[in-house]
Amino acid sequence: MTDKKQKLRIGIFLLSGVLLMVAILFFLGLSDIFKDKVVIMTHFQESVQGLTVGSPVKFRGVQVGAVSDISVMLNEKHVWVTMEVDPDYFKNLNRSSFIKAMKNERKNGLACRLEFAGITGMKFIDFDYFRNGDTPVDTPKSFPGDDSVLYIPSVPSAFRDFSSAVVNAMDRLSKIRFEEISNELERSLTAVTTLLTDPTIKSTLVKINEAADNLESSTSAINQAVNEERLVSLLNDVEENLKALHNLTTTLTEQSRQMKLPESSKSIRKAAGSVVESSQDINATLQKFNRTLESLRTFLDYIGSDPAAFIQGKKQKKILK
Amino acid sequence: MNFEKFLTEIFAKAIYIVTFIGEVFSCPPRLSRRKREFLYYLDLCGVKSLPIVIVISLLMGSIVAIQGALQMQKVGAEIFIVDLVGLAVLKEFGPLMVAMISTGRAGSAFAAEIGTMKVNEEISALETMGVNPFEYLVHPKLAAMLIAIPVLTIFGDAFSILGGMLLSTSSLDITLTAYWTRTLAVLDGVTFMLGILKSAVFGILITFAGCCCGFASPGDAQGVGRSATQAVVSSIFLVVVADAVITLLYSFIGY
Repeated sequence: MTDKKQKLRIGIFLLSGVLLMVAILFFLGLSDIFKDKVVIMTHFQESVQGLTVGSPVKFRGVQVGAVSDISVMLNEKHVWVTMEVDPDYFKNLNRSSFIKAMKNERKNGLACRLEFAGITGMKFIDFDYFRNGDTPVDTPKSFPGDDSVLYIPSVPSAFRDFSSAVVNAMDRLSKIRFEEISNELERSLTAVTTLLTDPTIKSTLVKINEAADNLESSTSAINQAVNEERLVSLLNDVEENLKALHNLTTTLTEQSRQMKLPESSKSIRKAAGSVVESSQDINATLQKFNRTLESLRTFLDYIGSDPAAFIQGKKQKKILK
Repeated sequence: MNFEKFLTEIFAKAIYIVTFIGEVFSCPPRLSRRKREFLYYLDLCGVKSLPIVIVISLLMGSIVAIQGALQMQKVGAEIFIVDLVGLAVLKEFGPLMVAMISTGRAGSAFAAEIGTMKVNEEISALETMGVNPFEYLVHPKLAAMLIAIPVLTIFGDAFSILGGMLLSTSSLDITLTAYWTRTLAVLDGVTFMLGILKSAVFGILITFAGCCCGFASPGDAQGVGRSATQAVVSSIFLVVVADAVITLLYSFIGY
């Protein structure tokens, strides 16, 4: 009986252990062996540090597979990455239709790119539409895979762009003449120091301080004078004045309409024309009058010098014979 | 003790251990004849060790999770506790904890049993009867340990992960689904099986250390006690050294 119990215990122990092992293996990837995965290859012309065998392969963030191989092709100076993608992640697609769809999407701009998985430096491959369909890609001279392997082009990672930008920035920085700038700065600082120690500046500052004090006292006086009640009454006055102004404007507008300004101005223009003409006549008359007065003065001067001429008349000039 | 004597003793022990290994492998295994002994040791080392393995594994998983959480919460990386618990358990803690428990239970028991038999001159009696004592005493233990330790490690791995999962989902902001999904994403079957393989190696070492110390024990009661202690110390030392070597070997293949 004890022997039977012992055997039962051992049987349960071994059976449960084996079942547990199979379950663990199943959940940890044994089921993947039975899946018909599609092999996809791509190549990168940049460092793939952080990408390892088993790194995730994602399609717009959804993990659809894993990296299965990484190899370097020295003559073409790039790295080939082989991935195994599970078509089951793509709805309504089996293996053949998935390959067909991927080839079609490749024409529409589907490409893969290296992305950082986090702060640890680990990377993954992300499939997305990183380029336009007509954008040229670096086609490899030779493809190491066979016909069953699908090729998807890659685009440079954001990190590569960033690093090249950093290199450019560093290159530009190295061209800056820091020594000259430093010397110039030193000279400027010396000049500023000299300027600041100038007694005139000090007296100016004192005056500015005084002015600021005055301004402050003035402001406080204004504040005292213009309290809230006063401000309200001022605003009321302003409002009333504005109303009055508005009424005045309205009245003026009305009256100007009633005055028939166009007609009046026409008449005024005519009158002005007449005045101009009259002034011209008056001017001519005055000129004549002026000449008359001139003649009269000449006559009076002549009479004054020779009164007899008033009776005898003007002496005739002797004609030499 | 001068250095020369020390070296002579070490050399003699090494010769003894190598001879013992030769004796064990030189006799053909007759497990069909030793089925009863085999089942007895499987029951002793496997079934009866299971409760303590489950309890310790649950606690170990929780401890690793809480220690990881204390550090990772500082940088908001609590989800990586799953990675820590899963990988640490499958690669190291699972096989190592089971090996330590088995050392305490089986290693010392083997040494005490064989030592007592030696005191009672049962081993001499076996030899007189034409029974190879290494085949009779060591082979069933070795076979039982080769099966029991990996199976216990499977339970240990599972319950350690469960312990980490229970603690993370109850004390941290990690949902059960997130923990499970992350565990499946991080761990793989090869890592799990390599841990199981490592535990089998530990099983062999514990059996050899226990039996070797038992056969080497002097023929008195105190000697049996000393040999049991020696078996535990030797087993732990061998397991740790083997763990270091195996981890190094695994690192060469990327695990």
